[in-house]
Amino acid sequence: MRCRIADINIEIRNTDPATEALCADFLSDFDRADIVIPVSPFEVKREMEESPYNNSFAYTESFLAFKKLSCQLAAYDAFLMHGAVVKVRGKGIIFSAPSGTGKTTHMLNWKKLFGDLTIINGDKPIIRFVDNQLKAYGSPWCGKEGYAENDSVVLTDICFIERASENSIHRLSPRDAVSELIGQTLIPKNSADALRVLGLVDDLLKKCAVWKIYCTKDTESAVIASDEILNAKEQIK
Amino acid sequence: MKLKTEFVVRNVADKTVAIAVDSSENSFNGMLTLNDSGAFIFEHLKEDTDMETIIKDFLAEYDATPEQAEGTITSFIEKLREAGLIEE
Repeated sequence: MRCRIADINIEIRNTDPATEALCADFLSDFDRADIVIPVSPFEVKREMEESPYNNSFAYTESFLAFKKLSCQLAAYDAFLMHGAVVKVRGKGIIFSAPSGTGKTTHMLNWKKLFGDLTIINGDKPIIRFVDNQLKAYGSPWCGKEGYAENDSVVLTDICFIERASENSIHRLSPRDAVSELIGQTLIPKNSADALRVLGLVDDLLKKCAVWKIYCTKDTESAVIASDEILNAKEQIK
Repeated sequence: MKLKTEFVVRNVADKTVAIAVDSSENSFNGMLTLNDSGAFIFEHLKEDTDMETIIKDFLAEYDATPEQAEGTITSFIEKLREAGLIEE
């Protein structure tokens, strides 16, 4: 099946037609593929046997395609981050935190406040350097809740979320954000690609404002955070 | 002695970071941040080397006494050793 994801033409050689339904929003028609991803039924069955989860063949096939794609992104000046990206009031915001911290809850609190907010990708957005900007893209691989749009946004703000008993938001210097950001970035396992991705992360820290958000589960947390972020003076150089 | 695994080292937002890029699944999956002298010693450990060579080059680069150099280098290498990153 043919998909266009992160402005890249991708041909996935799936065997299960049901996999197409999982990628429905991203199907595309093109003459020439930039990347071809074969996935054999043998690989899928082996992954299903080794997996502790009871996922379907189609889901597993799609997951393996994603895994293989993630190894080829560096050549397109792209990488994966673990976080939820939203587009709202001219901003592209990524909420990042280890799993289970509450970034989805916080993101949904923002959605309650801003009806025109778009969730670009709720779990692992593809970040790509394009036209001298860092854009975050939706993809079929967006977490178990399935929040994604076939859309993109230029990133302006990175927010690290931490659960707390009171709501507050603080500006971080790029330097202070390095460890946490790299911790949530998929760094390739070959040195040339790893260096390329680290270069993109460096660029991301130059182009975005970085914040630390301490938040409760309540909507109030989004009020406090959005007040600061949406009213912050232009930081992009 | 040298580093057990391959690292890429790069400056990110004015911090020198070192990330393991060993292709095996169970490699050291972490990140180190290095200060200036740490980055210098780390670079030496990418190839097989010994204390004498590192101390000699360190003294050529930094304004330190031989005792200070040995102390700094020993302590840094010991930390790497404790993290299982040194191959003798």
